[in-house]
Amino acid sequence: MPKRLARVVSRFSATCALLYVSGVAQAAPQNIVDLPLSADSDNRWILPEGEYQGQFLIDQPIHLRCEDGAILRGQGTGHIVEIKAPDVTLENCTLLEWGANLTDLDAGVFIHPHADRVTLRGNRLRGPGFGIWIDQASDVSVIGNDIEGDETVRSQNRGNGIHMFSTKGARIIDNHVRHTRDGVYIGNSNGNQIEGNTLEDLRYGVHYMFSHDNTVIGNLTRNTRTGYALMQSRQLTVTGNRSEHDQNYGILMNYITYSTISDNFVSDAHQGDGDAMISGAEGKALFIYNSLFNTIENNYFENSGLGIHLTAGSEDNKISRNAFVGNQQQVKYVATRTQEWSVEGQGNYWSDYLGWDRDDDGIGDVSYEPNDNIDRLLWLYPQVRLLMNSPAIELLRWVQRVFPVTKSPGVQDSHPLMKLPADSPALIQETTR
Amino acid sequence: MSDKDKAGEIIESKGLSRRGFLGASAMTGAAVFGAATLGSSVMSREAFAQAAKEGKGKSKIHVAPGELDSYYGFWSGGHQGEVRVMGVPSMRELMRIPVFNVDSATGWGLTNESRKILGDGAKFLNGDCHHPHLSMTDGKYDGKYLFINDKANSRVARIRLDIMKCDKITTIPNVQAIHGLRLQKVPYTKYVYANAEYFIPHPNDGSNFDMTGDDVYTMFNVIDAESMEVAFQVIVDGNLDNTDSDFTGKYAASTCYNSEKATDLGGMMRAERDWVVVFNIARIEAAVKKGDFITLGDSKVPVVNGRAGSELTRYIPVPKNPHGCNTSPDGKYFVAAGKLSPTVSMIAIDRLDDLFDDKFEDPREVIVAEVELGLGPLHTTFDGRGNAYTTLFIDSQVVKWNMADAIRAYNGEDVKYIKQKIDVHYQPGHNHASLTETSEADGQWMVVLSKFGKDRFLPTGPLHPENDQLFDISGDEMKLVHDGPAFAEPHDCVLARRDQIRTKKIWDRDDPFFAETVKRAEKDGISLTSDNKVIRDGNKVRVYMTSFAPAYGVTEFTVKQGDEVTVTITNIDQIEDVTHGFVMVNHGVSMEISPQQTSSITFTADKPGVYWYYCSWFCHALHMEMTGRMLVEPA
Repeated sequence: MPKRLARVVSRFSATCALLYVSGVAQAAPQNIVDLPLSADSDNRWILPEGEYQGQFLIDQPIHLRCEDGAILRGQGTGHIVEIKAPDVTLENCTLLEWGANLTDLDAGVFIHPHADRVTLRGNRLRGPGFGIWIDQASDVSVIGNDIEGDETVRSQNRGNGIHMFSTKGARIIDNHVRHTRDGVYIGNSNGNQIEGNTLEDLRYGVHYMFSHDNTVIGNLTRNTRTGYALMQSRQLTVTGNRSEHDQNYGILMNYITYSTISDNFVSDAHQGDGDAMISGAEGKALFIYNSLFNTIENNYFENSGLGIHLTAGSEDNKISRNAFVGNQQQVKYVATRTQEWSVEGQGNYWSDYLGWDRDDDGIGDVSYEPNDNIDRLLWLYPQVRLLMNSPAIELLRWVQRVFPVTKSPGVQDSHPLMKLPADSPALIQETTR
Repeated sequence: MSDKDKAGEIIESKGLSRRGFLGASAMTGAAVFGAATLGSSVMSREAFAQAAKEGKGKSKIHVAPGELDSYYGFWSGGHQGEVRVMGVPSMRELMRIPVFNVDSATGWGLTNESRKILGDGAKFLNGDCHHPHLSMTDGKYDGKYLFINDKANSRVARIRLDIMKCDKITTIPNVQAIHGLRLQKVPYTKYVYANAEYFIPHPNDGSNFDMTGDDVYTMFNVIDAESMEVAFQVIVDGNLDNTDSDFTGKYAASTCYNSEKATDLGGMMRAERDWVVVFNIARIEAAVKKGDFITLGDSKVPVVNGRAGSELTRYIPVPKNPHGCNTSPDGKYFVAAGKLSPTVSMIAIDRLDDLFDDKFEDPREVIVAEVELGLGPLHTTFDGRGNAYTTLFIDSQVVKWNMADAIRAYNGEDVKYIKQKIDVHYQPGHNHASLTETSEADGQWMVVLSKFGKDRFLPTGPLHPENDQLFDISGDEMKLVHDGPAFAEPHDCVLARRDQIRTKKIWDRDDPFFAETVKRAEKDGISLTSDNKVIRDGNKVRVYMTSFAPAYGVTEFTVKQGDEVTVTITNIDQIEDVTHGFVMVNHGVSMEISPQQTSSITFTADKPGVYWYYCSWFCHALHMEMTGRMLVEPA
C-alpha cells in the first residue's frame, strides 16, 4: 500500500463525507488520496457517496471506484481529475462542471504523458471543455463512459468528448458522447481502437488528423456535422460503422491510403443547416478525395444527396459489393481516366440500374456507368436534371453503348449486382432490429 | 443564332425560367440527334468546353487578340524564385521578373548590375518567394513597388514597377525563413512587415543546439520600404506564419501555428489554440527611439522584446494551427483561418486599442466571430461588398460567406452566413480577389491558387503543373471561368487595376539601375551612348560598345588568354520593344539590353581562339547577322 494512502486511510477509514471542498478553485489540485477513500481490496479504493468540489490529482497507481452518488464537481475551472501516474483505474464516477477554457485544455479527466495503461470505465462526465484529454499516454482504455457537453456554450467553443494527442494503443470502446464539439478526436495518434461508441449531436463524430494504423469499428454517429472525418492518415480499418442523419458527410476520406472501408451503413447524409440550399454543399454519404489504394467493399449508402463523391485522383481503390440505394445522385466522379468498380467479377448494387440478367447469375449483363456523359452533363448543368427521364436521355445512353466513341472516361461497373449482397449491413441491420 | 449559342445562353442564365427550361429541353434533344446521326462527339469534353466558351459569362474573360486585360496580376514563382506578371482575366503571362533565381534570358544573376543588387546573396542560385505585395498610399495601390519574400535564403526583395525589375534585396539578419510578408497600408508603405518562420538559438553559432531554451526564438522583421534597411526586429514567442496590417498604420498581426515550439510534426498539433500576435507599431517605434533595444551579433538592427507580457505585442488565442491572416478592406477585421480547425476567427481591429490598454480580462474578447466554414480553412479574400471568400484546403472548396451575418450568427441569431461553396481543383492555398487588400476592393475577379493539378491538364510526367483558377465573383455566385496550369509554385498573387501600374516604355539614361556602370564608364572616359572602345587595365579588359539594331558598335576585339573581360553595352535604339541581347558563345555569358539601357557582364577569357558573340533578343530582320568576335590570344 502506498505510504501516503495508508495514512489517509487510517484517518478516514470509516467516514463518509457528504460535502467535501478542496479549497478555492484556482489553487493547486488536491491529491485524490486526501479524499475520504475507503479500502475495498488490495490497492482498490472506494470513494463514498457525496459531493467533492475542486480539482483533484492522481499521482500514484491506484484503482478507484466511486460509489453510486459520488460526484466530483469542478466549479467551472481547470480539470477535475488530472492523472499523472500509470496504471490508474477510475470507474463509476460522476464528474461535473470542469472549466471551459480551451486554450488551457480544460478537461474532465486530463491524462498526462507517461500515465500509461490508465483505465476510465463507466464514468459520467458533463461539462463545457474537453471530456477526456489523453496527452501522449499509451495503452489507455476509455470504456463505457457517458460524456455530455454543455449546450449553452457555442459548439465551436466546446471541447471534444474524447481527445487523443500522440497516443498509442488506446482502446476507446462503448462510450456515449453527445453535445460536445467532436465526439472522438484523434491527432497524431497511431494504433488505436475506436469501437462501439455512440456519437451524436456533435460537430464531427470521429475526427481524424494524421493518425495511422487505427481501427474504427461498429460505431454509430447520428446528427453530427460529419460522421467520420478521416483525414491525412494511412492504414485505417473502418468497418461496421453506421452514420445516420449526419450533415455534410457520412464518411469523409481525405488523403486516406492503404485502408479498408467495409460493411459500413450510411443513410440520410444531408446538407448542413448552416448552409441550407447553397450549391456545392450537398450531403455526401462517402466522400473520397485524393485517396488511393483502399479497399471499399460491402458498404451501404442510402437516401443521401450523393452516394459517393470521388475526386482529385482517387484511383486504384478496390470498390465492390457496395450498395447505392436511392441517393439523389449515386456517384459524382470527377476525373479524366476510367475506373473499374468491380473486383473479380463482383460489382456493386445500384438501385437505379436499368439492365437485365438473362443468365440469372446475379450479375447484370450490361455494365453500369454512373458517371456516363449524362451524369457529367448533370454535374455541369444541374438544370438538365429535370430531363432525366426524357426519351432523349435514354437515347443518348443507348447511343453511348452502341457508339463507345462518344464515351468519356468515368466510373464503370462491369459486373453490377442484381440485388443487395447477402451480408450487406442493411440486411444485417434488418434482422437484428 | 446556332443551337450551340442558344445552349450557351441557357446554361449561363441565372436560375431556370420556364422558357429557359423548355429551351434547354429542345436543345438537348437536338444535340442528341446530332450525336446519333453524325456519330460526332457532341458530348465530349471539348463540346462542353465549346458550349461553355460561347456562353455569356465566359465572354467576359475573353480578351480578344489585340485587346488588353483590365487587371495586372503579380504571381510569385514559388521556389522557382521569380515573380510573374499576368494579365487578368485572360490569365496570359505577360512577363517574368527574375528575383532570387538566375535567368539566362535577361542575364539576372549574371550581369554586374543584377549581381550588385543581389549582393552577398548572389552566391545563392535559388530562392523561394511566396507573397508579392504592392506598395500603397492611403490604402490604395500607388504603383511604385512590389515586395516579395525569399523563404529559402531569408531575404526580402523590392521590384520597381516602372521598369518591372528587382532593384533592392535585403538579407534579414539573425533569422531563418522569411515567410509571411505584407506592407503598411496607411498613410503609405513606410514599412515592409516580414515574418521569420523558424525559431533558432541566439547566437546561432554552433555553441548551442538545445531548441528549448529561452535564447531560442524567432523575430518579426520591419524593413524600411524606401531604404530597404531593416528598421527593427521584434522577438516573439512561438513561430510566425502569415501577416497583414490594418488601415490605420498602427497594427500588424501575424499567425503562429507552433505556439508549442515543437520540433516534431505531432508536437506542433498539440495545442487546441495557437494565436495571432498583434504588433503595436507606434509603441515599438517609441521603444526603439528610447533606446530600449538590444542588438544581436554583428547586426546593428535594433531588436525589441515582444514576448508575452511585453507592452509591444498582444497574443490572442485562436484555434488551431492558424494559417492565413487577412485584413478586410473595410479595415474592420483581421481574419485568421484555422487550418486544423474548420473555423475562421474575426478579430475586431477597433478593439485592439483597448486590448493594448489591458481593458479586457480575456484577450479573446476582441474576437467578434469564430464561425465554422469547412475543413482546412487557409486564406481569406474579400469583395468589398461585405463578403469574404475562404479557401478550404481539405474540402478542396472555396466558401463564400458574409461577415456581418457571421457576427450575427456568432451572437446567436439564426442567420445563414454561408452563401456558396464551390469545388476547386485541387486543394487551394491562397486566393486573391481584385484589389482585395486595398480600400478599393472591387469584387470582380478571384484567383484561387490550387496546389494540385492532378488530372486537369495533359499529363507532363510525374511532375504536374499546379492549377491557378479564375472565378468571376461579380455576381451573386462564384463562377469558375478559367483553369491555368502553373509551374512551381505560385503561393500567392495580387491584382491591381491596369491604370494603377504605369511603366516606362524605354529606359531613362539616368536610371539608378545601371548608374554604377555609368560611373565606371565615366572614370574610363567613355560616353556610353556613342563610344565603342576597349580599355585595357592590366589583365582587366573593359569593352564598351553601343548596339543599334542590327549591329554592335564593336564587332571584333582582342584579349589575352586569362584576361578578365567586362563587356558593357548600351542599346541606343529608342524604339519600344527593340531589346538587344549579348551572348558570348562557350563562356556562359548572356544578357538583355533594352532600349536606352546599359548592361555589363564580366567573365574570364580562359580559352584561346575565336569566339563569336551574337544578339539573343530578336531585334531586326538582320538579327541573325548581329554578331561579332572575341579573339583570344594564347597566354
